Amino acid sequence: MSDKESSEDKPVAEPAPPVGLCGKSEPCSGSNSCGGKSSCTEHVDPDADPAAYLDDDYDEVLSRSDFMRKAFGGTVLLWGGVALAPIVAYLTPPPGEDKEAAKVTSVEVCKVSELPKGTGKNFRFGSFPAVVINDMEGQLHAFNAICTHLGCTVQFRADKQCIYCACHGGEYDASTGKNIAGPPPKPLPVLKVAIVDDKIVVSKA
Amino acid sequence: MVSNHSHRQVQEQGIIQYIEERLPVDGLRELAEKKKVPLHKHSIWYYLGGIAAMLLGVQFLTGILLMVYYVPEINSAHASILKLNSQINFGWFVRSLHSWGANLLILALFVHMFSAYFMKAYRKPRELTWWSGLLLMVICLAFGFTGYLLPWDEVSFFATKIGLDIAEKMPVLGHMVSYMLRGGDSITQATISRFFVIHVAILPVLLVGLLGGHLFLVQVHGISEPESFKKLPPEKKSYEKFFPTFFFKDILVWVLAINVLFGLTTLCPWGLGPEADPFAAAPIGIKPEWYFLAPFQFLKLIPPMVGPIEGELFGILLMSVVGVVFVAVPFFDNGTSKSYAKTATIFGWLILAGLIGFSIWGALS
Repeated sequence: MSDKESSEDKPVAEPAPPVGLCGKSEPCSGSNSCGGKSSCTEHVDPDADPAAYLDDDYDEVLSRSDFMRKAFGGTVLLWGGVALAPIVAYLTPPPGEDKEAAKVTSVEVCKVSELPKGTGKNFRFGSFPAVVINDMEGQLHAFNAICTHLGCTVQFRADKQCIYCACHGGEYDASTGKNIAGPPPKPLPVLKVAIVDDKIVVSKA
Repeated sequence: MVSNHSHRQVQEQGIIQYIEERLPVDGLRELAEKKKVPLHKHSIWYYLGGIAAMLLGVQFLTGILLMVYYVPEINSAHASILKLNSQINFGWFVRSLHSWGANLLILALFVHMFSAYFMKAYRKPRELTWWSGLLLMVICLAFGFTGYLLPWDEVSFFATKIGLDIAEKMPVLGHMVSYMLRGGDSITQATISRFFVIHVAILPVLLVGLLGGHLFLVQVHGISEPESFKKLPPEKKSYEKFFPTFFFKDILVWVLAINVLFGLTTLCPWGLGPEADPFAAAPIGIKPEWYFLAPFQFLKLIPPMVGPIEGELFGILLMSVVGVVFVAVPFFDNGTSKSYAKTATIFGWLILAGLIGFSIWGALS
């Protein structure tokens, strides 16, 4: 009776010294009465006895818990990945949803008479905005109207005789599409212009 | 009469007892008793968090009301706002409250953030409060960005276009994230649907959770005291009780802020531009909201190429440095070095001056 009581009380009161659970309350020092090292070391508190780390049996116990911890973390990550992948896929729409619009290769913009010299006109070219310009010499030019800076839609400005982006003030040459002022890093992509039956027709270059 | 009165008293006591037996009222009462607010010449800045919280309440209420009539569909969105503005009883008022409220909220948050920065409230042990506040700021700006597209007018279309193109320029994940947010290569119905869900479902959940954490941390650490106040001998420090003294002043300030909001809403109701046309040119003179004016003006100034990198990427990276510094400042200025503290303060003033300067420049140009 008294043995039992003391073995229950002591570890609670003094958790620091390693205590064998073999029915005795004395700390296991390796050569005690609890019947040998191996049965004691299983219950050793590693913080209290650093030498226990050197014990082979103890290593096995540690690596098992370590394994469980890693396996748990791995499972969580795996589950997270498995859950996340379909969400990302779900939110990424299939490419070419506006395939029909992207297929467009030429557009009839307007009659020649509707675009006097020194003016420009924005229009839709399939899936993107475009601009056509009739310059002072009566030459026609057409470009993709997406600003190469941050993607706003550019327009022809009669007062400046250039292509202008209202968002950050970028300017392009009206006959070549070359970026000439402001932040745009690249020229506008050029489109082909032709006059067919007195109508302006723009097509992919 | 007397028996009636005492009867009611007994009833009230019964209710109080009922609650006390089921909730940790004593603990809360003790917390409320203990909570105190330092009194010094910078005390006025303590009101900003409360103002922001109140405005947030206005945003939740008006946002829920707007959802009743708003239609997140590309052909109906603009028309539904027009209807709100012109046909629904108090529709213009609710919508204006939401728009003006959003602007005042961002303003209050900026002041709140900078006052915390200059009072060095980010130092140990309040780093988590500071970081959660920064995240809340990001969430509120994301609210602004996503909400801006929903009315589907000209300006909102191009603002979204620019914003997502900036995101696209970010290295590594930029393209994937912007493609997912946009729902494709161009702004379409897919974009409106996504922004709507983010605005009314995802961000509110994030905000409520994070704000809970932010406010909890403020209770844990108590109200931050500036260095000059902390140095005072105890007998020279004066405080006021949060309950009821500061709390009632808070309510008074809320009433004032509500009056400002109602004044702006009534005198300058929020407008609505012409419906967005994805194939029309950006209108001359287009400008973002005031709180994006500074980066807008900054991006205008950067040349096409800075060394080997494209100008806008350079600009975006440079602006991210400011964000990184704000996140890292608790490590840099941890209260052990006077010169580091001074550097942090000077950096803050430079950023604040830059923000104000670029915003004014952007507004005037």
